[in-house]
Amino acid sequence: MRALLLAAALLLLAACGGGGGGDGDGDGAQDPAGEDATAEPTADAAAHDPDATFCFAWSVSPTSLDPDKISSGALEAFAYPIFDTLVHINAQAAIEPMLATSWDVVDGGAALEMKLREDWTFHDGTPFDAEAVAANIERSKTLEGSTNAASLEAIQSVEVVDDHTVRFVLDGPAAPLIAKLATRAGMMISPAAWDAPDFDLNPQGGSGAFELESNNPDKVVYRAVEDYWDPDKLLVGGLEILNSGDDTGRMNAVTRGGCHQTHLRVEQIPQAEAEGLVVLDGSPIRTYNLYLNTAMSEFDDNRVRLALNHAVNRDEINEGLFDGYCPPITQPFPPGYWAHAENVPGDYYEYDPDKARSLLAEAGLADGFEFEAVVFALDTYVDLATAMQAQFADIGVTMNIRQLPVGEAIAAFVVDRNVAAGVMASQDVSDPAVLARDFYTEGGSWNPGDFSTPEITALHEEAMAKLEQSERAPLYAELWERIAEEAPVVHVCYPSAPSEGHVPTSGGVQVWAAGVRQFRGVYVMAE
Amino acid sequence: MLGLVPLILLVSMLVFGLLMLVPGDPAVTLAGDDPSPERIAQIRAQLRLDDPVAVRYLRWLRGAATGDLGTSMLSSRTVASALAFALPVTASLAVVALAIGSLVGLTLGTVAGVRRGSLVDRLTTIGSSIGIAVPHFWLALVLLIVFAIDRRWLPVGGYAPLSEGVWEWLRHLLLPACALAASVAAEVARQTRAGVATVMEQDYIRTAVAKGLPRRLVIGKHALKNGAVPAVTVIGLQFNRLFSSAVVVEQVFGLPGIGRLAVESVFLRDLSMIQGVTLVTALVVIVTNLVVDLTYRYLNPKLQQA
Repeated sequence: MRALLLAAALLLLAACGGGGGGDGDGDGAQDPAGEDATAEPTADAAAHDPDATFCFAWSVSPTSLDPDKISSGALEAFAYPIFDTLVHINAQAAIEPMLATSWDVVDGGAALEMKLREDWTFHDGTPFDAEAVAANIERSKTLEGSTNAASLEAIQSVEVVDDHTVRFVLDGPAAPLIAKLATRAGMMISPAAWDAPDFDLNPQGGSGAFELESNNPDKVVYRAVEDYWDPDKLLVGGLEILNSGDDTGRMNAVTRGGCHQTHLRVEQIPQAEAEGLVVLDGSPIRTYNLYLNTAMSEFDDNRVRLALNHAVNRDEINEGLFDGYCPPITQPFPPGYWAHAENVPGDYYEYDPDKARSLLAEAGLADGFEFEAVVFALDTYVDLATAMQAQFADIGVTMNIRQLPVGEAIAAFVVDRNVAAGVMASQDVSDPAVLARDFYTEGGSWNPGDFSTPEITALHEEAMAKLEQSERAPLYAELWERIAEEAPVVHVCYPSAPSEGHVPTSGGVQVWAAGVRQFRGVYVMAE
Repeated sequence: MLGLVPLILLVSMLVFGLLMLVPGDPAVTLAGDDPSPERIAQIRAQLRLDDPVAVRYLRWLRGAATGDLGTSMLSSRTVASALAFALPVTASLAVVALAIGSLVGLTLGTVAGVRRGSLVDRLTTIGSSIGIAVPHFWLALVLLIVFAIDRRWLPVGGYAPLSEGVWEWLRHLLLPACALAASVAAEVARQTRAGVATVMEQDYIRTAVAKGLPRRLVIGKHALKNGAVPAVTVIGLQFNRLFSSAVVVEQVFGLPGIGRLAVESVFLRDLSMIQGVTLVTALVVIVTNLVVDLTYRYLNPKLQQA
């Protein structure tokens, strides 16, 4: 089953305005005076207005509010207020209890046992218990067209141990599954509610801090529930997410229209600061890359792949194309993320065209070669591809660019597998094991050339089997270095621009590691 | 009236055919995070995208004939409900723009036509040319900046339905409507001026004046009624133009109308929604033309006798 493809489609569905966060001290982050999106909300309980309605100006509408029918990660933001998840990933990408209060791997790793919160019910009064969790997992795995089935494939069956203890019998490692239970795959719905005919658009029976009040094409409105189990994280009386159309409309909605926060493009940052908005620092867990199909063109030769990596001038791209907002990177995860490897720095491949030519000559390609790359038909990616095209030309390599809409570019590279390379953003993942499986193991959904080595596969499996991030991090450090030596991907840079702006009298929007906004703990200061 | 049916059929067939030529697979877009072959195939099967074009068209036509325009390919929203939400927004915008433009145009045109050669006449003529030439989006941005962003007199965008109060409804529509009304006023003023000026030269007007009728009656009852006939035709045509011009203005002001719905549907390849929007727009145009014809016949009794 091919794995989920997150950041490319979802981020660009959000008009490439995907959020920030997840990195409190990332390299290259500008504006040290800005807020850190990784910081937990610090609203003084006495200073916020508990009856206020927080307004977020966005550019999209939800396609569905049924967690099992949401088609992309970015749109989960509409569902998070209504449905709590079993676990929660905080802004530092650490996993915290939520509707599950604790968990443990039992039976020698064959099962994951979770203890559930006992002081909560669904909004419609249905008890939140182990039976409800089991029913939710069953639905997510079996509902026709469920977009969560792949995320839960590691669950073979669900056992109800007692009213508030559930055991997942596993057919795979626990760590990636736990991370998935922090996404829509772990959202809990009242089993009494999901058969309602309009559940897709007007779901009731949620488990979160808000109930849905209305869902119209121009805005989605939520109201706070009474006696929420985590009152410190429910600081407003209502929430509105506007579909404000274009960039100007969103900015106007915040600076003049009474909305509190919006996401920003790089070019909007000066205006946002001039208007007095607080601009949030932070980086999405995303990288810009040239992905290679190692079964096509000359990419089965490690020397050719290394040559391309040495031919890319990452510093020039960072300064020239991104105004310093895209520091160089040579691994899948930017600094600040727990699985980032300090031993694979941004200058791991020194920019050295001479070395690149020498490597090509060793590979018998002294005269260079030619290949085609698909590129998302969006300015950022086209500019990046054009810059790399020129840099490759310096070493005699011709990269022909074919622009395609996002979905078609992905399909060409990973589904049809008829193109040698793709200039794309990485997927935002809930766990590095998912990325490693998709890109660096045979049969991985983003690995059309089935690239891997026994050492890489072994490291991946070992890291995947561990539960604690402290145990897994060193393994990923070694894994990314092995992968850097093999160079099946040309990682270029990671976007580090501030990406959220809010009025000074509000705050608390979290943009966690996968770039998905959560409105848990948002507040508006009392006047 | 019978001619409407084949016309609508022709429009729907043309649009359906053009949509089939649009590159890209909506199933890939719908697959979102998971464009695996299995998922794409599942979506195509669910939406019956692999059926022959003619079969798909007839299926849509059968539904449309019974009022079922289908469901959005990208959400669970029915096309009818999406249109029911968007149509009042665009209709409100068009009506307010038309009202403002007609009022201003008829007034200025009448004054200019009655006082040919005067300063008002010349200013109206110049203003009409400017009003026709100025792009809607430019005027919309200028109005937005001056009255909403700088002075904060009016909202920067969004729509308030009538249920939130007439004043709130009008406040949100005023700026976008004025952006659209400029060209309406310009066209109406030109036509009215020409019509009134011509009528004012007629013998029956001189007779009315000679009989001692008050000037306002001469102008209001005799001159304007006959002189405004071409303006009525223009007003009707302007209503149709407003529907298409509203696309850009709705984007500037963030109005969730038909125009924005059409743009989003095209970008996302939501074929069901595009077809529904096209059908409704075609119906609006056709019905508007019918109303204009009927009004024209009322104003010109000779046409009724004919």
